[in-house]
Amino acid sequence: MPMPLTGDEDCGTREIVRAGPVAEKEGELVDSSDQQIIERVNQGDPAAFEELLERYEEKIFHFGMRMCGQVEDARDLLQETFLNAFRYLKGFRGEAQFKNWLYKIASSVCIKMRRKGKFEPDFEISLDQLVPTEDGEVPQEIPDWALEPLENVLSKEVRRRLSEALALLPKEYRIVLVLRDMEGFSTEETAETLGISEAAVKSRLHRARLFVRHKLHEYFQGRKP
Amino acid sequence: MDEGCRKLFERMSEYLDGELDLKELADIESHLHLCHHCEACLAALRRTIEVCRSHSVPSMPTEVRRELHELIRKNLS
Ligand SMILES: [Zn+2]
Repeated sequence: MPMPLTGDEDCGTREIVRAGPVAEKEGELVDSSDQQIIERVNQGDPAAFEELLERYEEKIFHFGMRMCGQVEDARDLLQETFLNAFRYLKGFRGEAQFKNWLYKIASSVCIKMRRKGKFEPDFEISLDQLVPTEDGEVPQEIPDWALEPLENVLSKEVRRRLSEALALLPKEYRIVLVLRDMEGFSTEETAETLGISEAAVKSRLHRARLFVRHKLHEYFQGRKP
Repeated sequence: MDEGCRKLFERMSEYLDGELDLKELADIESHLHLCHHCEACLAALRRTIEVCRSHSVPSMPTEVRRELHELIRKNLS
């Protein structure tokens, strides 16, 4: 007797149930079409991989620019990331979103990479360094740059200062700030992507933010008449 | 900086990210009502996060895209 159709349907349902909590947590649907493309690649249609490129190349390039600061390095990171993704695609199990899996590869490429001709800062950031001092780093009043509408604050110069501050951050702090505050990853996803604990993510993120705040503060202080 | 300020200073990001439990949240909020120093510090950190979130980078140059696709095609075969 042939197996009733419901058997297959059960398998399908189980897949969906497993993907369910992730989809709910993120408030977005699991992108099943990524999975379909991956299956096509793995079933012997490597050209389908270019569809994945089209979908994610811009994102990974932006990540590279944020992490490395220049096009040449971002290009290297982009190429290395997709070469590795293609190489290891068979190992992608579909439990994670493809995007997160790709960022995991990009992050590990980035950690290993040396930026061309650029000094790579390497130091621990302690909270004590960043405690606002009484001599005016944080006044009793909210500073103007935190009060004004955001669009008034976001000048070209401020954007440049932010990029500068990012480049001055040691890589392990920079990558957490970039993932959390620029790429939109949650604490949990960042921890998973970098293979560190959520406590470590929170700790590095807080230090990195305080470091950037300090740099922005210096800039706005210097501008005061 | 007193003990309340120090405690808040350590947890500020978690506060802004909504990652504190109710007890910690209540402690911090009652401190914030009284302490202008921490209020100012928090506002500057909140603004820093907003500036980070709006960080934009130039889009990918056509040349970079072309090179990537060529490289991948070479590896596909
Ligand atoms: Zn205080």
